[in-house]
Amino acid sequence: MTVTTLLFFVFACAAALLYRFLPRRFKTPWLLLVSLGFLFTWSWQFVISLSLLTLLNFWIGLHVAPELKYRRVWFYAGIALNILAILVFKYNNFYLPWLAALLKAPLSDGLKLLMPIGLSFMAVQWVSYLLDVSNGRMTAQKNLLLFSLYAFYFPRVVSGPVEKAKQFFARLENPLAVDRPLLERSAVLIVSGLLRKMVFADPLFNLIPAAAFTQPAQYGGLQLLLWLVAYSFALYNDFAGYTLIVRGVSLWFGIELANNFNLPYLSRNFSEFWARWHISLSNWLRDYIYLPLSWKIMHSKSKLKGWVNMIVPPLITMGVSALWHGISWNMLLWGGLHGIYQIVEHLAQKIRPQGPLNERPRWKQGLNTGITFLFAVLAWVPFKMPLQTALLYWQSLLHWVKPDLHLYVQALHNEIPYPALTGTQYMNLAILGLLAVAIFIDLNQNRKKSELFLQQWPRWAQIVVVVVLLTVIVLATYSNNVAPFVYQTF
Amino acid sequence: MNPTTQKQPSINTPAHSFIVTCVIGLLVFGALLGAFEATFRLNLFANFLPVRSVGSYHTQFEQKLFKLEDYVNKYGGVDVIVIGNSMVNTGIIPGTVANRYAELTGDQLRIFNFGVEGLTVSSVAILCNYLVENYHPGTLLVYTEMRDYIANNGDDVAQEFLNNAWMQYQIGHWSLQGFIVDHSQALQHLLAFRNWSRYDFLTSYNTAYHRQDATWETGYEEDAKKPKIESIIRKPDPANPQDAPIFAELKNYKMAPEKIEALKEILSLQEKGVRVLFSEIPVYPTYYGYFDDDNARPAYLTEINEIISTAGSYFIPTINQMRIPLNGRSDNHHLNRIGAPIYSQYLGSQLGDLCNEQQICLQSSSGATLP
Repeated sequence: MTVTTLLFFVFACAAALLYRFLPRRFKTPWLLLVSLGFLFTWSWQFVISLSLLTLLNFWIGLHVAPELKYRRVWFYAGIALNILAILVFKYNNFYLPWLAALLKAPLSDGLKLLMPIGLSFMAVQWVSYLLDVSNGRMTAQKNLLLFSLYAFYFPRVVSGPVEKAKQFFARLENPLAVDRPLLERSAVLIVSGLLRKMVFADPLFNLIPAAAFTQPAQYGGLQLLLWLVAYSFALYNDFAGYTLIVRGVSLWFGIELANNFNLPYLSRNFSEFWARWHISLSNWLRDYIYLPLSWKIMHSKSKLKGWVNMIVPPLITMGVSALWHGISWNMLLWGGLHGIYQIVEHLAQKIRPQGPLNERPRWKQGLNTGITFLFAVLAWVPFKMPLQTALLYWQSLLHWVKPDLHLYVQALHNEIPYPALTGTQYMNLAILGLLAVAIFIDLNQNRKKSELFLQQWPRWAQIVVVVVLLTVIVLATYSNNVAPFVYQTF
Repeated sequence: MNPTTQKQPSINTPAHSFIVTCVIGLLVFGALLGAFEATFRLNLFANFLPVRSVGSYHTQFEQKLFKLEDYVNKYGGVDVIVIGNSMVNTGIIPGTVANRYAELTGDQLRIFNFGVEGLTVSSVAILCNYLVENYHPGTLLVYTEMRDYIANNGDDVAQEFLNNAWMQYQIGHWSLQGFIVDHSQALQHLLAFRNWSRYDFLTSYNTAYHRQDATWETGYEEDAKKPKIESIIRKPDPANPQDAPIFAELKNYKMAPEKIEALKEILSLQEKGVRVLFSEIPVYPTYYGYFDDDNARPAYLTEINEIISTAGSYFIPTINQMRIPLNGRSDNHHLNRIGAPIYSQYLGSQLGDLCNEQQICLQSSSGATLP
């Protein structure tokens, strides 16, 4: 059951209605039951493997508090458990063929069946929980039901957002009052999310031919650039759309989930980009990798600690981020590039310090946004395709072919009738049209300074949005063009 | 848990309720659909949006379906449906067959060509059932061939047919999606644009549009391709990379049990009063050059004849392939616009002779055997 289906909304709505009217003591068990039911619709095997991991983390969490004996042993065992779970389930493509050959038995299917959906998201949550408990930032959760909900809570189980345990438990125990303003906000978030997913992300993904990312050499640079920008917006709208939908649905239960995106392509440098892109994971990486590493370096006695601090934490942090997305050379290159971007920025700031971003001239801010966008887009190349193809893609981007416009020039001079629209032209026009609207939406959100910008539109415009959305949804229902959420695979 | 005063993020107070706007949007959408439905039912938009769809992945199947619907509306029914794969689509001209049959028997029948690319016996079985239930033909003339019976061959096509919500609805599995598309003409016209966001949309839409134009009202699609004589007479070579996969597919040819079951399913339609007859398109002999066993074809013919005759049906023998000139073929198994009239004439004669000599006649849709 994916979160864009009517069935999901009916399911969530029914669950929320009953949740609202249940006595307090039944609310958490009900929410857990509903979450298990949701996961069950994906696969019953997920329920088993995830339950086992939840129980183990719960048990380990009870032994890692600072005052307890052997807490470090338990803590490292917990970290190892979660890393091992990711390695065993998620990266089995690396070792299973070898193991299968050794044992002369097909092994892959069993493990793939058991691999819980959203495992990477849960693993980082559990790791942060164990770290927070062991550092005394929070006490261990002794209620197994609440702890299970931390993993299973159905709006976020598939692809996050990554929640910090302390905040999530507080929200569970102290939910928002589900009143009219909250439901209004929920409706805006859901409609915005569906708009981003169904109207921008899926069509943009589908408008890019598969060969673009497998055989880039057969296309010209301008065409490849357009597809790359289209992919960048598709990826962003896909994940941002998903997050908005699940946040909106979560509000039906009075539970606020973390925001994940804040107009990342309007960032003026890469530090800002990572504060706006996949915010919940970026915060996790910042709090549990970057800052502790930086603190260690700055408290060392090395004379070069300033330089080391400028280089090592960004590279390691982005390396971990890359490995979280997948163990492959292309992902490492993607992470490495983002690490290098940040190092270059820090270096430039060190050599020629500049004031805060907001105080720089507007033209400079615009230029910085353009440069950051360009480099972020170029980095999506290894994110999307294997290393060899990525290198070829970059190379092909430089191969500019002058568009053949002589027929249009002749038509302009009334020498011949205008040529009919070709398939490629349709595709490019559709991409450009969608990009224009997607950019307008982002700029409008930026101007209104609120993710609820839709709420501030005139009613007629809102009605147009709803009608367009419904039309696209109806057409998508009868086609096979709904792309699965990209981050669902991580 | 205690719903409390936990602070909510500040929001600029909107002038109106967004939820109410959503409800209005839903009503506007419903009203627009209603208006579209009315205009389509009054045939006001048909010329602007000529291509229709039921959401099937197979656009040619959909075209045949709507052509058949138009045909039945125009002529008040259909007596004979000829069904099979692309070879039937471009190889049989219903009018020619009907006229020749009428010359020999005196009975003018309404014949429709339901040849659709990629069909094998599994998907034909699904469609035959649907066509009999909905269009009540008196006779089904089913074209089948050896490759139909290879295990798994064409199963993906059959599965795609079955996966379609509209088809599910037709075979009795009710769903809102299937119900709406079956009953809404507006949606059927709009669904032609359902792949608007695919990179190849315009190309595939134009292809569908042109094919619809090229398909006659009787379902026959004229193949204007010039024959490539060399490719027709070329003997298949296992060492040729193009031929190798076909050799591999046809190695140790055997009729798969599940395919035979599909054939029997088609034959069982006779219990509903439909006459079911079988035949084969006269392919060029090189088409059989892929079989490693020379006995494969005679053995196949014996087996299929036995199954068909045991069920009380009849397999109309294939005419001599050499009666179709080389320039009447677009490749070694498809007939083109030169070959199709020739073969259709022969088929009409075969059917007429069968009726006159063996009393196995084409049955009209009323169910009565016309002499």
